[in-house]
Amino acid sequence: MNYYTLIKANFRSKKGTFIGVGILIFIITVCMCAVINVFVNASDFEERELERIGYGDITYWVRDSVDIEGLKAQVEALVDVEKAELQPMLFVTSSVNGIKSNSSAFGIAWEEGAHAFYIYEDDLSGINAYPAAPQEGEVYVPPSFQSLFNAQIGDNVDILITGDADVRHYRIKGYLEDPVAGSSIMGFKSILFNENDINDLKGAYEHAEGAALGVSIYAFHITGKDTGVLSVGDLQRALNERTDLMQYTIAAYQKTAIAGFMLMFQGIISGILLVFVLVLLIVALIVIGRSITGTIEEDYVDMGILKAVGYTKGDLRRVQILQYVILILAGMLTGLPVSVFVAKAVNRLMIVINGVMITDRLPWLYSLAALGSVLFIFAVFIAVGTVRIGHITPIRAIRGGADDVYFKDRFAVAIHQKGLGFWLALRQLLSGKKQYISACLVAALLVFFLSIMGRLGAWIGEDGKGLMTALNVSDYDLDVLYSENGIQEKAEEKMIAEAGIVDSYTMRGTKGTINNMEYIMYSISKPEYYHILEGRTCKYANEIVITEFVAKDLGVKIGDTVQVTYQGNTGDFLISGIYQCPNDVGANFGMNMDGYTSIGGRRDGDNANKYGISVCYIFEDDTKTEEIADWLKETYGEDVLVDENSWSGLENVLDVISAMNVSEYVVSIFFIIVVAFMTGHRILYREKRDLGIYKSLGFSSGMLRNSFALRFAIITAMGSMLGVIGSAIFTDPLASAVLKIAGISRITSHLDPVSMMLPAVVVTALFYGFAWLMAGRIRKTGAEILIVE
Amino acid sequence: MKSLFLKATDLCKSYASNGVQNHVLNMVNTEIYEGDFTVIMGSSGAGKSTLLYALSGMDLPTSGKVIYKGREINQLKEKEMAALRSQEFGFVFQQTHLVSNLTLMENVTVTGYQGKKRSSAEVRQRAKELLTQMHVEQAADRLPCQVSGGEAQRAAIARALINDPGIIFADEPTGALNKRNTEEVLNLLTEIHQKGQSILMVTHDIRAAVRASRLLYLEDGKIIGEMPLPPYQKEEEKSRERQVDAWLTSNEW
Repeated sequence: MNYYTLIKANFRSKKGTFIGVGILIFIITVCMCAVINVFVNASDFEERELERIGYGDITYWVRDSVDIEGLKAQVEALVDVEKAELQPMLFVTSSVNGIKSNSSAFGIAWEEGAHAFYIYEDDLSGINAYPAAPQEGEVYVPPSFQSLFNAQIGDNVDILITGDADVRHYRIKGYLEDPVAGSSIMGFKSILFNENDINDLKGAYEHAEGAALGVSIYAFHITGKDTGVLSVGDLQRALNERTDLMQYTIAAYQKTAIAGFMLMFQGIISGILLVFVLVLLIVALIVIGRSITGTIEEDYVDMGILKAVGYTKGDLRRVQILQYVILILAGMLTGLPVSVFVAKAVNRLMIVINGVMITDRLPWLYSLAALGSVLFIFAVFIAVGTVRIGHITPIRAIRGGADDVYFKDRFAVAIHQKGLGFWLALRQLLSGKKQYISACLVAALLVFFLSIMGRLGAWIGEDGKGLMTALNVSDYDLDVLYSENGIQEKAEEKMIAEAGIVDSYTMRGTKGTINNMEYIMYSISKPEYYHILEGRTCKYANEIVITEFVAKDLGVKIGDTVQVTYQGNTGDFLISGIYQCPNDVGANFGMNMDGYTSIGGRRDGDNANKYGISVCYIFEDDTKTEEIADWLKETYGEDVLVDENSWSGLENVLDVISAMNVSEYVVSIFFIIVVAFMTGHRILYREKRDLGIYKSLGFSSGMLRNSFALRFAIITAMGSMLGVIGSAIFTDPLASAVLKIAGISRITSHLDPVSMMLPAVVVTALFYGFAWLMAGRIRKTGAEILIVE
Repeated sequence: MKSLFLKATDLCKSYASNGVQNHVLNMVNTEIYEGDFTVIMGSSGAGKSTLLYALSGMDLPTSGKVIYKGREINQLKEKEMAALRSQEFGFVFQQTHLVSNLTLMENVTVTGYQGKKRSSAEVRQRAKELLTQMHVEQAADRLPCQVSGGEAQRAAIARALINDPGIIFADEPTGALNKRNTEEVLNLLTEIHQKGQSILMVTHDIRAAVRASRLLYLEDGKIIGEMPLPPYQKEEEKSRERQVDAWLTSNEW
């Protein structure tokens, strides 16, 4: 009961400080549990949903024109295979709202039952429990069609049979959950049709006059036996080596690779937010640490008196620990339910990118474990922070408290008449420097994080070019595949006139195998454009570069020799380096054009481009890229295939990154308010008498207020500089660690002064502003405080 | 003929405490003249300090007017009042009230800088002279917590003088000092008064009161007595004490 009385009294007298601590914990709980929610739910969502719709450990998409049942029997005969199932579908080429998709889609017939695709409510607010089957002429598409093609319900999806003149029109009925390829970054998509429409399209492709732009295929879902010995990679190698699957395969992906690629951006954003939460946690520890010290200093005399009347240091420490634990628990208990709404909002924001709606049920176990850990860390921290209560003696407290220790180690900085407010601020700052340490460290940490985000933003670029370059196999502004002779010369004349060509090289992207494992195989004429991480690029015809993913997948390293097979031709290649290319989650390798021709690749003749070899251009003025691309499309139509180093979903990704940045600034502002309030409140309380003296000497409220706020500006500017320096050192390794989720292992951001310094200026200005507002009470502190009647 | 410096008209100050209105000042009318060393005396709770702070604009009266050199100071805006305090008024408090993280020298110079009457170098030079005059030059670079009460109070007087104020308001400046320090501080105040400085001081100490050129007696928030005194002479101190004591006794002190 005596503890209760003391705690109640403390809450009453220091409600501002305690409310501040409670708000910090609330914000941390909301952010942390929301990130955990998104992360945990996303991590098992993809694999669970893929399994539900019938996907196995590996899926091969194979052509229909084979003895499919015989192939299935071959696969099932393998001792390592548990289950093999065939799913018929169409490989179609689509055009939405006049935007032709660069790649194809899977046309799948509507079915009902446990394995069916889920259908979303029209407003994407959840799963539709009773979805209607698509009628003839209707389709369900993934929500990422919104970001890719700005497609809404009621818009048209055109399926091209042989070309623009021979198309079938379908109306978008609604959105499906597409865990296979729903993400806007995936090169293909799933579209659900009425069964009659599927049969109609199948017939149209079979009887097309001219080259059909679609084909009937099977998705071959294969599940391995759970022996605990054979990895999925080993199973895939066994399937490639011991069956005829590879001869008929269009594409093959492991379930984990699909899941990884589908939620790549979710992973990146969760990773960044997780780092942000860690920063906030450290900030909260600093603030609470300072709050404890401040409370003890303020209550020095009262604690001495309590000791004089019989309280032990243990009693007083327990009171302090209990009151903070109560606050922390209150913040956590209120923050936990709010985190579910935040996670829901994040998932809602991400749906047009992910193409799937991640569930937002509260992961109790993970959340409570995380909160329990945080509570434990705080409790230990508070227990250590209250040790100094043991040093308080009744006699020392009663004789005047701890005044004598405040200024014993101050720096001597002269005060000058010019800029008197500044010099006074500096003196006050140096005299009571430990009171401002929390503001300094908080500024340093927030600027550190925001500066990293600023540099990352600069690296990504306003148009996303940096991100696209990192996601691509090599650097280029425009990639053009010419289908007719004579176009290239005219196109290049235009490019030179409009933008200037700095360099150009040829590139081929196809499928090839290394040691019987299939990957994307790139060949470029100037291999110095590969993004090399280790070793060197493939200078010679018998060399290749591989990604970290492939190195791990095959268990090979630089200097090893591997067998590369392309269209039945095999050659021995030396691995000369590790390069970065997250395409297909890193399942790719590269060689030079000589290497490509050494295993049967063709690039001879007048029109090398008919062998799928495109030309990549790097422009002097890359702002003209879009203009040139539009000109090429308008002038040459289907005779050119143009890639502007971008994709239509990029805009939404950039929007989400911007929204995330804004949210981080908003949370930072809350933290700054709380820290400025808590620190400022305590300082004003302690300096009440000095303020009265200054007023009696003729200092105006405005000047004192400005001088007070200036202290925060000075200290947070110093902290901000530390944050900027920290971000300059740690941005690349930290960002690389987070973006490794996306297969981007190395980030080389540039020292961009604006993006780095902006957070420092914003944080310093906010601290100054909130301290200035906080100091409004100086107006009420008059010289009359000195009056003793 | 001395010129009128400060004039209070119908000055009232009251506080509400536990629902009861306490009238600390009750229709006070008085005039303070340039060059005078005016001392306000009275019993505890008579309203001496309240009157001093009301006259100096430090505290607002409930009603009435205070006119300083023709300006009604209660009507001044905050900035005007701040300028008046820094350039025209000097304060010496019972508890010294030096800024705790500034050295004695800095306490004086900061006030000088704010007064804006001199350049930085001149302020520093004048501060040194004043601290020497107050015999605290050896403690100039120490913090208030590192010097004796007497040294701190002498530095406070130096601070009050740095901007050559029209008047110094001193509230029980010797109240917290021992006998030796009290004597030193009173000697300094007397010295500066003899050089022409106007002083308005509150005290309940007869030894301090005898330094005055004019005494006011306050009782229950009203001035009930006034006594002029000839210029102070050290050798006449005992007789002045008796004279003042008799006057105080006549006022039922």
